[in-house]
Amino acid sequence: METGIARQGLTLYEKLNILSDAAKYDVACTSSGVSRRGNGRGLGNCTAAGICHSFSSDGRCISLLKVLYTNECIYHCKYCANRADNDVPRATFTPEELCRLTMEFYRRNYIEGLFLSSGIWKSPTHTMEQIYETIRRLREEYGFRGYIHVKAIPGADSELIEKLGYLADRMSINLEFPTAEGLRRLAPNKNRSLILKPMRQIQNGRLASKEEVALYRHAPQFVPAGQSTQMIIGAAGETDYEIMSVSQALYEGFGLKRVFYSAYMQVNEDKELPVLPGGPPLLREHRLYQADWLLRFYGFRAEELLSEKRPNFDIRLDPKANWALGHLDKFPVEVNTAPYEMLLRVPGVGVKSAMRIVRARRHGVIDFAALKRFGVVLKRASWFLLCSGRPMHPLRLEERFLTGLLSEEGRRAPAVDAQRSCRQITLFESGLEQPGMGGLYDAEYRVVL
Amino acid sequence: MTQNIVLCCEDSLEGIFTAVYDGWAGRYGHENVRLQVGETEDMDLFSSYIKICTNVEKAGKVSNTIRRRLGGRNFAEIARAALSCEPDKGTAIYRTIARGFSMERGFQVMGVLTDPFVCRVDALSRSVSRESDHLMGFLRFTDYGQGVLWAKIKPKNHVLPAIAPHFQDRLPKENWVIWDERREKAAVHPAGRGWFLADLDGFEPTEDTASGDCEREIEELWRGFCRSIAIEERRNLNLQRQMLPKRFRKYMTEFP
Repeated sequence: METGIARQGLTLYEKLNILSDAAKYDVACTSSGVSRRGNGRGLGNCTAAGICHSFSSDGRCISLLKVLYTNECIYHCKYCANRADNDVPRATFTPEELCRLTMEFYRRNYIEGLFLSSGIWKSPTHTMEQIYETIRRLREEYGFRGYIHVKAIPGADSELIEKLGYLADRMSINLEFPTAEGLRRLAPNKNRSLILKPMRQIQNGRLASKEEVALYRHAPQFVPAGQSTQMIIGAAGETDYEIMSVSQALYEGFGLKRVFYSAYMQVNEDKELPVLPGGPPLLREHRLYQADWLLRFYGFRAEELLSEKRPNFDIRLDPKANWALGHLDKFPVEVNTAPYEMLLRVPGVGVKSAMRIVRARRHGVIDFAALKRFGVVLKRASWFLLCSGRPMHPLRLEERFLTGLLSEEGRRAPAVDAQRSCRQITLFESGLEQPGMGGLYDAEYRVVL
Repeated sequence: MTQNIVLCCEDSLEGIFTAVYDGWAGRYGHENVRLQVGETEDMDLFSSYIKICTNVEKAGKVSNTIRRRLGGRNFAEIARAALSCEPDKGTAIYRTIARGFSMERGFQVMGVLTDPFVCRVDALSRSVSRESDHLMGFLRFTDYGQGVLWAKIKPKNHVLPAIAPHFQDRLPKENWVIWDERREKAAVHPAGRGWFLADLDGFEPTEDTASGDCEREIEELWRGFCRSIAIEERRNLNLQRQMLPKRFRKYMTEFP
């Protein structure tokens, strides 16, 4: 082991402690996006919707055994607890230990699979080799068919990434900061193009593999659950507009499945790093997740939600309500005739509510009582809807009045609910969109129509 | 006043479907029929009560007709609603089937959410799904060292038939037992074969000490992981309780 602070002879318990603690800031603890049945021999399967197995005391979902392979790191990223010059306990797993942990946890139904990331040990390629060896052993020798999410290390040999892609379900590379400038300043050993290169490689690999699978049904699948990335929010001074534009570009240009946002948490003292007096910007992170959902499922574009002139969200309002207040001329919306796309834009109506409305109105006229009965939450929506030309109560489409009504300040503390990022979809959930939650279900669910 | 007919049937899919068959054959008029599932409650003076004996053949006919006329997806939803713990499920299922059979496009029946009975079946089915989805994640197996994994649950709804196929697919080479404490029933899965439902009035796996130590070690590892993965600055017990209701925790390794 490289550094002087590394201790030899750690027990497995201590290692797991150190290396899960070191991995806790990684957000993407989801297990969704791929459906794979058991094969009657090995251990495990995957369900498309993903499964949450537990929730930690911060309310985040525990779905995967989320650990670093090692926290021995040669890099000096300013914001990271594991940077080379920090005095923290260091540890490294062996492939065998990780396989055993995963198998034993999995068969007791503690976890859905493994999430393996790592500090940069010796070199990116060396690190990637260790990760590859672990995953290979788990898949081939242990016959593990559960979910595997691995980090691709920027700068690692591209052949290794290719081989790993056929064993893993999801791969991710963290963008870290929305701007190249922020990255240069706070992560001196990384650069933007080094991060985008493997991202592009995985995207192309997925496209090629999809064609293969279309031709030969049993062709091996490359990163079937897609790739994701993560950005730190609030450390490099970027605006919400910059962040959302980057996300949009990633979804459209790189075919990403998810972008995760992580409120900046101060773990190091450094003159380059901001001091946020209010603690981590959890509410801002929450608003970004809501907006992210609007991009992916509600047909919004970043330019509709924000602009150069108004580059940040009103923190009191959820982004959809915010949009509606700026477009009051589009309301009220008639439940019985409005197109699906417009129903989606009504504050308080989520994807599932809109789908149920569309499905139900084929068979008869919908009134407010029926809406209520089949689970559309009317608390906010009733101010924007008509049923057969009639409102539920007299409407007041005035910006001032509705802002007070929709604002989440005082009504509840939304920061409390800020961490919905790891929420996975439960298919038959009722009470679709509750105030302040914006329907933050995980992405890749089976459509129930 | 028309006579109310109450069909009293067993609390199972077969029981309910037999009642549907007999209710149909009796020509009482669908709107006059109620299904009473399971134990008899207080009798109503102005209704006539008919005891239904579960008949697999009749139930099979009903089930085939539903599959054919309403489609597999609607059948699955109705069957899931039948696992609910709510007493009105029988009537809701009966009337939903009646509604579906009266439609030209029966496979659209679950879309008729403006019908209160269809809406009810939809709600019941979703509530069963929600609980079984929860338990697919929250259920914990313990290896007591006899080559069998044991899990104990106490669900509101009868979720065993909904979750057992998932675990059979996932753990095909393991012997496992999932015991429903409330109903004293178990889903039993012998390695390499199909699972089945059994009455089991106690949960008493024996433990040998050697493997017990190994089991403690793994449980300790898991508890340690659940502690160290949490971010102290984001502590939010309210959110945790919302996502993982307390009633499940009694049976979970990480909540001692």
